Amino acid sequence: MDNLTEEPSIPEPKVAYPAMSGARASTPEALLKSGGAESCRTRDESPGGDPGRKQFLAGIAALVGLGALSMPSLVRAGMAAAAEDSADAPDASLLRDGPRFDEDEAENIIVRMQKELQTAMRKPIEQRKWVMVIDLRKCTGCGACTISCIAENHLPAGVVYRPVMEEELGTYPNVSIRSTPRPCMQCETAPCVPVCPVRATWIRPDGIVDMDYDQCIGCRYCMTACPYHARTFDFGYDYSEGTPARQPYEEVPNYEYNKRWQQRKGRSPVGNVRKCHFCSHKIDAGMLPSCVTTCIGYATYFGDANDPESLVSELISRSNKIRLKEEMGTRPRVFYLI
Amino acid sequence: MQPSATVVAPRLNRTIDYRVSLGITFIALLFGAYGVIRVLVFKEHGALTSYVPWGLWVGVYVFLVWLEVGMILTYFLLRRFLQIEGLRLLAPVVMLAAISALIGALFVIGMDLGHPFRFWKAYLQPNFGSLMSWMIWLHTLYLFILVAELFAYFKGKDYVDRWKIYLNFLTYISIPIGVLLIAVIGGLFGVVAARPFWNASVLPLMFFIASLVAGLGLLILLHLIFSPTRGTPQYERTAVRMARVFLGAIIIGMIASLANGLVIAYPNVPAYAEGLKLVLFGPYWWTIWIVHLAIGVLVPLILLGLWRTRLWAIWAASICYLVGFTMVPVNIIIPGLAYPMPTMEGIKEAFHHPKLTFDYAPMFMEWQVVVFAVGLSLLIFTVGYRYIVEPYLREHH
Repeated sequence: MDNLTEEPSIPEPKVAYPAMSGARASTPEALLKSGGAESCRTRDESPGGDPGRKQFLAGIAALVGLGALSMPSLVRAGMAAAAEDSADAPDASLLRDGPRFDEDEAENIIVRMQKELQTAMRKPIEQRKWVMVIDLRKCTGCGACTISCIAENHLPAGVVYRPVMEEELGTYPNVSIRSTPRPCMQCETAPCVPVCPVRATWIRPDGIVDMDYDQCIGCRYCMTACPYHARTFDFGYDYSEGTPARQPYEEVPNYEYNKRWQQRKGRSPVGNVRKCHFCSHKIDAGMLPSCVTTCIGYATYFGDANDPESLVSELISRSNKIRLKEEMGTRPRVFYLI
Repeated sequence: MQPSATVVAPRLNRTIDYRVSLGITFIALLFGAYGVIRVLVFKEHGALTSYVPWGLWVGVYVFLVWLEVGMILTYFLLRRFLQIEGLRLLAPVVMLAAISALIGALFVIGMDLGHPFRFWKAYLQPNFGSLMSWMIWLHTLYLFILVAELFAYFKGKDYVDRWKIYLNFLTYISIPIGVLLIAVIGGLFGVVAARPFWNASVLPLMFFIASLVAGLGLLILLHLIFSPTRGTPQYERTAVRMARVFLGAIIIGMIASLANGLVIAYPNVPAYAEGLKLVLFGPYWWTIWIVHLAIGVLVPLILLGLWRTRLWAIWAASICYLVGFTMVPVNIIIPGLAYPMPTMEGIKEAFHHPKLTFDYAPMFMEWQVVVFAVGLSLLIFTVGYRYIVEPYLREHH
C-alpha cells in the first residue's frame, strides 16, 4: 500500500548505462573496443586500475577449467547470479509505469479510500472536498470504468459520463497509446453553472456539480459552455432501439442525485442534460464511485482533498499531476498523474 | 404633403390577396405539422447531437430575432434621423411583422427545448446571472410592447391619438430594449469561453450590425409590398432613399465581417481558425460562398450599385439579401460547435453513437419545424393585417 502513497522508490542502479558513464563509453568506438564490457562496468570500479576486468577474466578461466566437472551446478549458480543481477537492476517497467503493487496491496488501496471516504462523511458537507485522481500510467484503456458507470447510472444509448479518450502518440516504430478517462471535471469555477437560465445545475458544498432533472428545461446552453464536452443530452434512445421490445434492464430505474428516475420518453431524465456526478448517490451512502472500484488497473483514486492524510491529498501534491485545460482557470477537481 | 392625401388602398384589401396568403400559410403549417408532432409527441430532436447541441432551429431563431429587432430599429432610425416621411403609416405593418417574427422565433426555440412545457420556469425561477434568462425576459418585454402597440392600432385611430404619449413612450423604450436584446443574444454566444469561434467581445457588435442590415432588408420589402403610399411619387422616393441606406449598410456589414474573419484567420490558431475553415471550406461551403456571398451580398451590391433608382432592382436586392442572410446565423452557430476543443480531440472516437458525434446536418423534420414556424409567422401577419392594420389604414384613408 505504501508503495503507492510514497514517491516511487527507484533502486539506485548499479549498472552504469552508456549515457551515464560519460564520454568514455558513450561513443560507439569505445564500446566496440571494450567489446561491450565498457558498458557493463560498475560504478564503484575505477577505470584506470581495471580490477573488474581482471576478476572477470580470472573467473572465465576458472569456469573453463572446471566446466567439464561441474556443469550442472554451474548452470544453477549462473541462474542464481542472473536472478540476483536482475533484482539489483532497475526495473524498466517500474521506470515506465510508476510504482506497482500486488493484488492484496491494491485491495488495501480500495479499503483505505473507502475508510477515508467514511471518515470524511462524518464531517459537515462543506468541509469535504472530493477530488478524483487518475493515473494515466496505469490506465490500460479497458473501458471498465465507462461500462460500470453506464451500469450504475443505467445510462441509455447516446449518454456517456466517462468515455476514455485514446490517442496514438509518435510515429512508427516509436508509437504508444495514451488512454485518458474523461469524467466530469467538477470544476471549482464551473462554466456550465452560471449559464443555466433556471438554476438547474449548481455546485454542492463538497464540490460536486449537481443537477436537478426536474428543473432542467433542456436548453443545452450548459453543454456548449463545458470545455470538456462532459455533458451529454438524453435524447431518449434505448439500447434496444430498432428491436421488437425494450429489454428488462432498460426498465430498471436509476438513483442519481438520490432520487428514483425511470427512463420514459417525455419524462426526466429524457430531454435533460446529463453528466457525471462522481456517483454522488453512492458517496452520500458512504461508498466509492463505481469507476473507482471497478478500475482493473487501480488507476482511479477518489477521496477528500481537505484531509491532509488522505491518499488523494498525497497524490495531488506530486509534481507529475496535471489537470485538463488548466489554462482556462476552471480548476477541475479531477487530476491526472502522468 | 398630408399623409391622408397619399394613402391608397392597402395591399391586402382585396379578399383574393388575403385568401392566397392564408392558403400559403396553411400549406406551410400542414407541411410542417408532422415535424412538430415528431418533436412534441415522439420527443425527437432531429440530427442534433450531444457535441453539436444547437443547430438549424437556433440558427433560424437568431435570424428571426435579427429581423424582428432590426426592423424596428431601422424603422425608428430612418424615421427619426433621416426623416423619411413615407414610412410614417408603415408603423403598424412594421409592428405586426415584428411580432410575427418574434412569435415564429419563440416557437422554433421552444421546439429546441428538451422540455418545452417547462418554459415557465424561466419566468418563475430565473437565474439572472445567465444571459439566456435576460434574453427570455427581454423577449417577453418586447412582446408586451408590441402587443400593446398593436392593440392600440386595433382599437383605431382615435384610440391611438388618445394614448399617443404612452405609445410614443413604448416606442422609445423599445429601442434600448431592442439594442439590449440583440447584444444579449450576441453575448450569449460570445461569453462561451469553451467555444473559441464564438468567444469574442466583437460578437454582440456583429450581431447588432447583422440585425440592422437584415432588418433594413425586410423593412424595404414591407414598404414595397404594403406601403399605403403605393402608386404615389412618395412611394418611389422613399424606396430609393432606403435603397441608398441599404447599400451603405451592406458595405458596412461586409467590411465588419471581413475584419472579423481576418482577425480569426490571420494567427491561424486552430481553436479559433477551425470554425472559420469549416465555414469557408467545410462540407457546407456553398451556403456561405453561393447563398450568402454570391446571392446575398454580390447580387444586391450589383443591383443597388447600378440600378438603385429602379424599383425592380430594389425589390430584387432586398429579396436576395434576405434569402442569402438566412445562412449567416447557421454559419455562426454550427461551425462553433462542430469540432472538438483543443486537447479533447480524442473525444471524437471515445464512445460511438449517432448522438455522440461532431457531424451535424439538419434532418427533414427540422426543416418541417422551421416551415411550420414560418407558417405561424405568416398566419399571424395575414390575420393581423386583415383585422388590425387594414381597418386602421382604412380609417386614415
